[in-house]
Order: sequence, then structure tokens, then C-alpha cells
Amino acid sequence: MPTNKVPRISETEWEVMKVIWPHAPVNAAQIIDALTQIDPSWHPKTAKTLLGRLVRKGVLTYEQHGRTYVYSPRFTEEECVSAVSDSFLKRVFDGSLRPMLAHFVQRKRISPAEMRELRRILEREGK
Amino acid sequence: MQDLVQTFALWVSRASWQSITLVAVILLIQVSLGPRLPARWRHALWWIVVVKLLLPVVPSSPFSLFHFGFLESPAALLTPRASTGAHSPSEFAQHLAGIWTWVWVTGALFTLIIIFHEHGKLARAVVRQRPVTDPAVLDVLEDCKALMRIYTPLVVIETSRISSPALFGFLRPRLLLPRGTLKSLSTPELRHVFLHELAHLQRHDIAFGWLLAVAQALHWFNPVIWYALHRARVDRELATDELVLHFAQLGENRAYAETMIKLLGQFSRPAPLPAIAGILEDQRQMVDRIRQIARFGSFRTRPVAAAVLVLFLALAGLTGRSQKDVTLPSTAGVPTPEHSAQTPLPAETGP
Repeated sequence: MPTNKVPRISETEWEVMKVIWPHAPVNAAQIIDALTQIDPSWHPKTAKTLLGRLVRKGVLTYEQHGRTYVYSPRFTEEECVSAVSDSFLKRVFDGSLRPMLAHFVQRKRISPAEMRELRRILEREGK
Repeated sequence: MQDLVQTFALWVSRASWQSITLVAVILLIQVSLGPRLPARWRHALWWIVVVKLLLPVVPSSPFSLFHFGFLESPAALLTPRASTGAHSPSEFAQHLAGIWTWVWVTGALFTLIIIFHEHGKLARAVVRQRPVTDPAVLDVLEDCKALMRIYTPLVVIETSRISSPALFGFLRPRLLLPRGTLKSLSTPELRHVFLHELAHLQRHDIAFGWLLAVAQALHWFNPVIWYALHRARVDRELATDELVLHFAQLGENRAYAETMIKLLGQFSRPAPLPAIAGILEDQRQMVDRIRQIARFGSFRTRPVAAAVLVLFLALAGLTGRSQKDVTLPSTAGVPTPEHSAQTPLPAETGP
């Protein structure tokens, strides 16, 4: 499968994806069951709406098994985790336009060569 | 009302201009002292600039940096030394000041609106999230808090809105973790993340960060200030790392750097080429941080000398040239170029 760009996933959609990843492929009933176990306030209708949205976005794909639809994720959790989108404004002005945040590491992109360089420096400078 | 705004705008312009000299001096100091300057003092130097950017009135002192006319005000460069007395503003200058005021107000408001908008978006998303309740995670957090003697209640939240762990807010601070962090980090690694964010909390970095943002908004037109505040934030990270290592165990510095590198590898998207502006700079910052961490403890810094230096620079940078500096640039809507810079009366000249 070609690696497409991972679409943006909202917070509530994340909650749904989190129960799908470990058990995929799953049907709607199983998903709703898992969600309500974590948080009983989940509405089946809300979950179904979100599933529809996730399918439309291309995050989930489905197959029809008889009467029910079975859902599978199109991206791994790792791929979704690292695909946080940035607008150009955010990239350039990130620190200055978000004074309410203090990060651990402030980098959104790094090349394998740069990673190696950092490791090399740690090796060298750490006596 | 218009006069008040105009006076304010002109004061901001003058402070902005003078800050350029200050920024140059600070960069010079940082470059020449290098690693002998402890990270927290390196960062503290930038606060002299921030205070200058926000301070409307300056006392005068003989130590002021701004004895030279052109350093003190851009007007000195624009208008020739008038021998006929300085109170003859041209129509043109008045008109210019009026236009500039409106341009400035628009830019400052626009910047502030963006900042508050960003905050609002993030706040709304984060506040609705369920906090992390895993006792193992909370235990690590409490251990770190006890070590650093921090008693602020702190909520941990997983969110997809950020790509690095971050501290959020300062009134009711929350520790944000990117999705998947808790699964992929070991306990010691999580400890490193918590220690770093708690160090930010202890240093009140976010509260001060808002002051930086206000200064940024007021001086939106000055690219030197953008750069300076960017460097202030970079140095802030170095100072925070320094504080973490102070609390960490002996020899833990290497593991701390490795946690940092691991997180970079996990949550950053792969970039085949540094084609986008800022990436080369980003890498340099990471190199500086890793280097400082690796060298921690093995390099003798001079904190007392640093403190004295900072205080002296504050005195030189935050004071004005002469008694005439104490008042705001102009009143009654009549923009006069700084006459103390214009007509050097015999009694005034001097070192």
C-alpha cells in the first residue's frame, strides 16, 4: 500500500482509533463496547458518526462481512503519532506565537543523518 | 487619545531602536565567554532586553550605553543637527509619525490576536481531555516533584496536538504528552521528561514567556527583536537542561541526552533534506543542548562573574543618557526629534 499523507485526526477520533489498533479488524459493536468500557458516557451514535468520518478521511477502511462492516486502520499507530501537521506560520513562529507551551524538544523534523550526528556528539563529548 | 497612542508608539520605536545595540552587546558577550557562562545567566542576559522593551521610563546614569546620539534614537540619524533649535518639526515628520502610529497599532494588535487565538485553540482542546490516571506514571511524577520540591498540583494529559512533551499554561499547569509517549518510554526516560517540564515550571518559564510574547507583539516590526527573543527561548532550553542536571543523579546526564534523542527520533517526521528554513538552525540548537548535557560537570563555569556582568549590563542598558531622557519622547502630538541628541550644548557633552 502506498504511504499517503496521514490525515489529521481529532482528539475524539483518537479515542476511537486507540481501541481499534490493538484489536483490528473490528466491527462497530465491538468498538462501541470497548469505548464504553473505558468511558461509559460514549454514545453509540457518536461512535458511529466518528467511524464514518474516519472512513471518509481515509484513516479507516472497511469490509462487509454479511450484514456487518468490519473496520481496519490504514495507518499504524506510529505513523499517526508522528504525523502532527504544521502550518507554515506555526513552523516559523512556533515558539513566539505559543508562549503558553514549554517543550522538551522543539523539533518537528529530523533527518537520519542529523540523528546520527547527535549520537556521535554525545559519544564524543561524554568523555 | 490619539496623542497618547502616538506617544506610546514613539516610545516603543525608540526602545526598539536602542534594544538593537543591547542585543549586539549581548551576542558579543555570549560568543566571547562561551561555556564559561552558566546557561541560566546566558538566558538572564536576554531579560535585560525584555525589560528594556517593556519599560516606558528609564532613569539616567553615567553608565548608560546610549550616550551617542545615533544609538539613542533613530531620529538623530534622520534629521541634521539643527542649530536653529529643535522645536521645528516639519509637516512631513508630523504626518509620518501619525501614519507610523496607526501601522504600529495594527501590527501589534494583529500579533496579539494571533497569540491569543493560538492559546484559545489549544486550551479548548486540552481542557476537555481526560487526565492520565495510570498510578505508575503518577508515581514517577510525584517522585520528580518531591525531588525538586514542587508542590503545585499537576495533571498529565495525552494529546495529539503537540509533537513533543510540553508544559502548558501557568495558572493551572498541565503536562502534555504526545500520543504514544507513555507506551514507548521506560520509567527512567519518563522521569527525564518530567524533570525537564518540572524545571520549566520551577523557573516560571511560561509566565515569563507571556511577557516575552507581549514584548514581541509591541515590537513586531523589528526583526532584530524577533531574532533576539528567538535566541532567548533557545537559551531558555539550555538553562532548563542545566537545572535538570542539577537535580539528576551523578552520571545521569548521558541517559538524559539519550532520552531526548529517542524522542526526536520517534515524534519527528523524517526530513530527507534540510530544505525548509529554520531546520539548520534547529539542528544547531539540538547540538548545543546535547553538547552542554554531555559536558555537564566537567567544565568550570563562573557564576559569580556572570552575575556581576549581567548586573552591570543591566545598569548600562536600562539607563538613559541624561536627565532629558526621563520624559517620554514627545507630547501634544508634536513629534520632535530627540533634542538632547540634536543640539549638544557644551555642558552636556562628555564621556
